[in-house]
Amino acid sequence: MKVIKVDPEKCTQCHTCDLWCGIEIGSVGKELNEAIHENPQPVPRVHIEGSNFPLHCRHCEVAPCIGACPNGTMRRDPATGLVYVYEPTCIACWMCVMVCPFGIIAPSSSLHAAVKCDRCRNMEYPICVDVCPTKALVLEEREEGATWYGYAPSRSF
Amino acid sequence: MEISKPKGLPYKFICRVYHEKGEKEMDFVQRKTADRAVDHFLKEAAEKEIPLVWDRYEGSLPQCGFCETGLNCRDCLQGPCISHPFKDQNKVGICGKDKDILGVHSFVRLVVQGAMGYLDQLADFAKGVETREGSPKHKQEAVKIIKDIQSMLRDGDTDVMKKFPKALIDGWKATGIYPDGVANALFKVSQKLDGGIGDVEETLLWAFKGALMGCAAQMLQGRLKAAVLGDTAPTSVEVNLGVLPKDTPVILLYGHFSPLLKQKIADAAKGKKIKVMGVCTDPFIPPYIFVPVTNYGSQEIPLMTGAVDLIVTGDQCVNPSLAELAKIWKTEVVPTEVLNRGDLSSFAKEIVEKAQEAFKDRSEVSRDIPNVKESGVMGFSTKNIDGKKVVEAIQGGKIKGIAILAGCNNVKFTQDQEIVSLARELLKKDVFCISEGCASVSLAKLGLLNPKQRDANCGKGLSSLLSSLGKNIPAVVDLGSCENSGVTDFLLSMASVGKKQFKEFPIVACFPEANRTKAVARAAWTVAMGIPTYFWPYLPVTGSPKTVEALGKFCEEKFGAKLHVITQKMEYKEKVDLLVKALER
Amino acid sequence: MRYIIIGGSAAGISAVEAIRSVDRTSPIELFSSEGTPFYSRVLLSYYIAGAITKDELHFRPLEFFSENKVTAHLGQRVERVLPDSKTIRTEDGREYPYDKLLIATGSSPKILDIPGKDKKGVVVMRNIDHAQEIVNRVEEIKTACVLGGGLIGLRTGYALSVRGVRVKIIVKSSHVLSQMLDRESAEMIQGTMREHGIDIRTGRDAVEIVGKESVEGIILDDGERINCQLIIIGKGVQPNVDLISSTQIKVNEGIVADETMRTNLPDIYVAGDVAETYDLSTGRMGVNAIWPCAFEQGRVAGLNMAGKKAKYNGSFRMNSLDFYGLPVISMGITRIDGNGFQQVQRKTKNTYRKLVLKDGCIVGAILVGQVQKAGVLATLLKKRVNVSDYVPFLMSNKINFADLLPLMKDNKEKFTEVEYRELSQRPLASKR
Repeated sequence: MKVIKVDPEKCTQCHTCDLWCGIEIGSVGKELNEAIHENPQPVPRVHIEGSNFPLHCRHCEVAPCIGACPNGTMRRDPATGLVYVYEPTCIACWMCVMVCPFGIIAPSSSLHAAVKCDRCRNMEYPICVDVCPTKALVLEEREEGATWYGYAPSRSF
Repeated sequence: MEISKPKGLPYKFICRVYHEKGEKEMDFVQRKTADRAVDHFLKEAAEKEIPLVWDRYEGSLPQCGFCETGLNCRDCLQGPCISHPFKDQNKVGICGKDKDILGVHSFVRLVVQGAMGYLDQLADFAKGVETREGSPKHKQEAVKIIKDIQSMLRDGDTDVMKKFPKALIDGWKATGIYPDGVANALFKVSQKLDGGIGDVEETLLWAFKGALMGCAAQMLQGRLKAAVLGDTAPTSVEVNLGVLPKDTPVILLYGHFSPLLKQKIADAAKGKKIKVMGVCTDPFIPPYIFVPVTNYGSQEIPLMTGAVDLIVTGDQCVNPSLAELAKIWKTEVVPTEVLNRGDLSSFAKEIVEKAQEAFKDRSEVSRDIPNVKESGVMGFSTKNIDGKKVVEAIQGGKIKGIAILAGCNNVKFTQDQEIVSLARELLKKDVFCISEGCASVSLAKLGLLNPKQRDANCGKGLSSLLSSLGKNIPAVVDLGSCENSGVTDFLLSMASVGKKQFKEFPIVACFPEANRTKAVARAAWTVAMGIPTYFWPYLPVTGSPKTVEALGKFCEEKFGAKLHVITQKMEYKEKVDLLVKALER
Repeated sequence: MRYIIIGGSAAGISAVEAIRSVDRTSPIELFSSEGTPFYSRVLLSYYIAGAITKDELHFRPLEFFSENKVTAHLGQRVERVLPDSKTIRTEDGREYPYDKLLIATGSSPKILDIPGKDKKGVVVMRNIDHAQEIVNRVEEIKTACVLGGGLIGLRTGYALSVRGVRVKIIVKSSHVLSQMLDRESAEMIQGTMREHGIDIRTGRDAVEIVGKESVEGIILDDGERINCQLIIIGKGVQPNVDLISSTQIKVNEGIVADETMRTNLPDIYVAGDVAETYDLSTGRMGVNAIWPCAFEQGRVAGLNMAGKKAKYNGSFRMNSLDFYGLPVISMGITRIDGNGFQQVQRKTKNTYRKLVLKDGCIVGAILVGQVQKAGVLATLLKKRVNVSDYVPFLMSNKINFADLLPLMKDNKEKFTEVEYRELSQRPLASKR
């Protein structure tokens, strides 16, 4: 499974990644000039942390958020191994926010749901990696031999 | 040179692919240019890996969303600030500029720089005249105009602005935007960017004040040129790369710099079999004509023919990339706006000598000049277009109205395609089109300035008007370089004949492929004159809904016209519908 | 290998998933005293509020048992565990043999001994039947009283208030949620709830429930009578350990588990609300009846049952809630009752943050308002990292993960999960 890794030396905190994540994934209009005026405000899934570290969901092998979610809103896609939020059932209880070791789940009161990067599951390529002007973000294979051993049902849940 | 587009990206990521005629066009791909001569060289540039504007544009995608929407500011060292549309911590600049002020300041910045562009041209020319670098043809007139310039810079009291209809001037004075000296109309506008308490609408009006200063400068430039160098007459010229000669030295003048220097270069080159031509510069410097070899978007291409021995470059409208390209073809580069330039005559002589040397050194450089050229009649003015006939045609319903086509080229569009397509449609709909500057060159390249092709392109009413105006009137009337105020003067003559305000005439201004800051200033003063203006690509103010609205509703209240900010992607037919609707108001 | 799992909620289902990730074929039998399988208890108050439907209470698809080849005995209470014969006996007398047993029976609400407690309309909120009873009657109820200031009672009260019922909460302590919040944070919650019309009486207790067959009111200890038609009792839970009463299995507050979630008897494991594990915040053994803990304990127990070694480092209490748009997260020790603890607080108009530290390590935290990145604090608590140098940073709203990387590098041996190693392309040598 591929994950997004960052090269902090190349990150210039230009915010292009979180801007386009908000437009392409978070917004309804999917267009720059529509998305920036939308209400509720679109929520980007990647955060520039510290001074130069864009951080995404790590799609943990043993995902604490899936364990903490009381109604199965946090799910793992059995085909790709990616952890995603099934938005229709999220009840905004914030249990996942409470357990994520990286703090990448954004509690959004305006959307009344937990917002989390799903590595652009429904697209061919993650948009943040695509738009980063300095190529600070890369898509790379998970470490050798690191397979996730959390359980997944035989069909997509 | 294929750039693959990852799926799922918005349409905005237009990937340009060079393709030959006949190849299937992919739906997300946009052609680079509509000019065959330029097309000829793009493949070579790709193979030789010579980067041109199109490659650098592709490399820059996606462009910064904050800058594109005007939600950014670098006016001080506490920044750079952005107004992040999706986060709450950095929505307002550190000093307190909120997204609306950031948006309107983005507009002000462009207008101020654009207005200064016109003032720079004027000041340069005026200084040359004052220090007697040339002998003016109409000395008295020239002296009067110099005095007028000084007066305009000092306190704004200038005869040339008084040519506007009184009601318009009164309106400007009442709003407070009548330019009253360079200090108030430009320096102060620039300091609006430094801070202060103000709202969007007031700040916008300051921008219009700066723009009107630029308008006055352009009008004075045109008049000074006529007084010093003499009048120009409409002339048939051939444009495009095919005009470059193979066997004689060629000097290309790039950009806007002092007309006196241009004249002196041509003087020094006279009789020496040196051809002096131009790109993005006023072609008519009497008694000489600097044939436009190409226009802004393809300014790098003439170098690739190998036929250019020396280029003389001003600052305005000149791509710095020319220096690197020139090295490849061993072309000499001489910038004009340098410190310690010395007097113009010796400078001009130096240039000519260098060109001759370069020609000798470049004898083994192969020439590849595509046989593409088109003839067109350029250089009309108020003196040869009868404003009365035009007014009558409008009143009689022969034509729908007048469309001003301005601007240059912008790599975000297929070069020349927007202007020409719009012009063709408008002509068919009996709209009298007038153009200037590089827009005229685009139209000339594709035959719209050729009188022989007039009737094929125009609707009946327009055809009959044009034939009544003179013998050799082409479909679109070029009113001169963007350095001079040909268009404004023509509109003034119509207003005085028809005894009406601009806003009461069916006129619309369109910048289909706008690019420079001077175009933004131009658009601003066009709106201030009461002419609805359509500007593509959209101005970087869309992050501030208040600014977009103010450019619409507020400007309509104050001036009777809107400056349209259109973000939706439109086919040129839809754009034409917009323009025609604006005429029918 | 025959697996038997007693209990079909978080711990039980998690154990099934863990076993099946290792052992695809051996039979698993699951016994649950409830008829409705894998519904989430946490969600019951949302069901009462009408935010979700009954079907949406399930946290796994209905085909879960068939997909995982589990033989489910729903509605069958296990009466007794017989370790000597390695069998269990259900209520109807049948016995089932096991090779590995998991006890995940959960807990039951504490009974409140108060006159009138058997009247109709007195509900202890624990399982889906209780919730259904409330939902069936919610239209006709004008006023409801919640006895007890715990999270379950408060959630139910909030849900009823959202449905338009007038709610009064009677709390014996000086503020609500005394197990999870301190006075400052609780008063913020109380303020919000009172603004929205919920009446909260602190320092009061109910002494009698009055009415004929159905509840008509309650009488407080100061003699005041409050009329109401529904009473929710939320006075805490106790582990269901009856079924092992006759065995040698060690029971304290709950059934005592070791690092592998095994009881003191071989082949018998325990997980969930009924298990007593090492508490990472107090340093002692304790029961933490929290959904994510149950899930994790079930997973570890299941893996160990299936022969794959897994270690459970311990649990700690953590709760989250969101009333009227004010999010609250609380974890670990929040009530200081002795020396050796430091607490750092920061209160603004709409937010509150408190860290409780012992020997430089986080043992508890309360966040009100600004709850993002709370998981980072939870991880620091769980891994017992000395954060003395970082306290001002952790207290600020700019808390983020990347700035803690140097701290994690210094404690490399604690952060061994692969996700930490693969954050960056290059070794995270220096901070810019």
